[in-house]
Amino acid sequence: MIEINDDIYQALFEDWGGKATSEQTKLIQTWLQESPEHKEWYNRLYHLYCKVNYAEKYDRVDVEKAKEKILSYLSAQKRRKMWWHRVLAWSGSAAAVLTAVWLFVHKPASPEPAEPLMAAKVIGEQADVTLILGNGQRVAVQKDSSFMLKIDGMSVKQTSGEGLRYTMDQNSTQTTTPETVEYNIVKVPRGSEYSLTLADGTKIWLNSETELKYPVRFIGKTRDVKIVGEGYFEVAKDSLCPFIVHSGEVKTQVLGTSFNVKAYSDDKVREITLVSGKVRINANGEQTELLPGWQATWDEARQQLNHQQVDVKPIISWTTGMFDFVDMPLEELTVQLSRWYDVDFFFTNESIKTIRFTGAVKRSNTLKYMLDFVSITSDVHYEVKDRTVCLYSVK
Amino acid sequence: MQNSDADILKWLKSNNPKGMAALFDRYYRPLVLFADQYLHDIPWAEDIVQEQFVKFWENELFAGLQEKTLSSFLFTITKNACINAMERRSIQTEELEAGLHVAAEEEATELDENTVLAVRKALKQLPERTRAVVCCVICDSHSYAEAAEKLNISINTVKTSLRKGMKELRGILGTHNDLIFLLLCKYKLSN
Repeated sequence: MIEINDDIYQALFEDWGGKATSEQTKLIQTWLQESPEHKEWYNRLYHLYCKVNYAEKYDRVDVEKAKEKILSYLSAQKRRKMWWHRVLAWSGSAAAVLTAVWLFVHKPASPEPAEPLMAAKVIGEQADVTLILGNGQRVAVQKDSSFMLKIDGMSVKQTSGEGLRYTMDQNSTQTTTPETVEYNIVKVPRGSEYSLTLADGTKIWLNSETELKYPVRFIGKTRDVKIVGEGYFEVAKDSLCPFIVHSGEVKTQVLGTSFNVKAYSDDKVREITLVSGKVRINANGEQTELLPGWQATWDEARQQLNHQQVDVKPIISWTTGMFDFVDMPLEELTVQLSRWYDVDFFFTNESIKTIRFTGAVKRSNTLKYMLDFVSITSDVHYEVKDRTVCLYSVK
Repeated sequence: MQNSDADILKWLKSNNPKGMAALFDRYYRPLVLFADQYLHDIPWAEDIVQEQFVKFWENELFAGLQEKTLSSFLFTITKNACINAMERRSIQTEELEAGLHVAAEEEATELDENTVLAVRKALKQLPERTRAVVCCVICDSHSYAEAAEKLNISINTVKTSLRKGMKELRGILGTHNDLIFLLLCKYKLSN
């Protein structure tokens, strides 16, 4: 057997443990170069060192905890990435169009106080979506249900998590394009979200308190849909047949692009923000084309069309399950919250309406969480009574 | 039951969520312990490995990998990440020479519950003080002086105990290859 002197032995162990002095490192190096057997022996001993070291530290590594942490991080990233991929990496077969349109919506006569509102409750997931067929028949759609309808030579299939999908019926005998087509309407109530895929493959995500009208099949030279509320459009590309989103007086024509349209009910300004590609906007005769990162605004009262550069990310944050607000006045923030949590806000003090907030908060958080966020970061306090949230200044 | 590298890659490439979960089950602990050989700090090692996993997934680094290259690829990116991390903290990085990387990787890949049980059983067979010295130096990365102080013994006792302990452990845990090697050494020396 090779005899190893104690100094070498000590140097090896201290080196492997990260504790060697530079003399010890030098000692090892000289010794290793003396003979190949030293090297071989050294390797063997290190194998054993690792085996013992690993075995003893085995339980110090919490695999499950790390797995949970990283997998949940990745799935959150993935959701984000998917959206951005879809939006930004458009070019292939689908044009992604984002529209977020807030139009003036009549306030429904104060909603039935179905149950006392607990501030800790998220209402988001339960509300029913309504599908209105061409003949006026209403179908209540439970989001986690599955069903299939036949309309006008089309199959309409609802699957849990996927939403509605319109596809051409395989057995359909219609070979000629009919001149008329049936329109359907999907209504998404407050506190809900929904998605659907149209006959041309265009996928649309609808935000709360939104109504979308669309043909079950697309015929003619353009593909026209009409939206009241807020929606994210991923438009299937068809350069011969442009896709047009109608929102009040504003028509947004897809020229192969992704964009966001938003219009507030109170000031009646509609905003169209381009994410990538190109859109042409026609607002009651006024026309403009946008470059990515630019936003057009249509002031309905003044009949004025303007444009400026903006940060598009917060504008479409709702599609990734976030409330993302940058320097947003409280008044504007409460509009978003009221739609998602199905509550009304009441300001007891006008001055607090203009307090500005910046943050990114998951929509899956409770209303209480959001309100606490507001009250902790400002001098605004809140009180929840039935479905009304009173905000007041504590100063 | 751990999944094969072929399955892990298949799932990763087909965007199946099982892929990352299986990757964690198979490689997380070996890579952390391997990284710990460089860093001597388990939480730091965990951090580095997690960062590599995220990169691995987000940049789809698995796309070009084959069943046979997955393991060495993971160990290589982990090693490089450790070296970079140490350089950032201005820690000398020459301590583990190339051959050691291979040994540390081999032991990490072979690590399983059976090995752990075998090692623990072997350690239990050592006299108490010998075991304490072995654990102190090998598992807690103490220097001889620190071990001596901690266990309240002389440095010479640390030296002899460790040597004795390693010899016994080798005797108990020694592999087939070890035996061949020992015979070879004896043979060479006797010539």
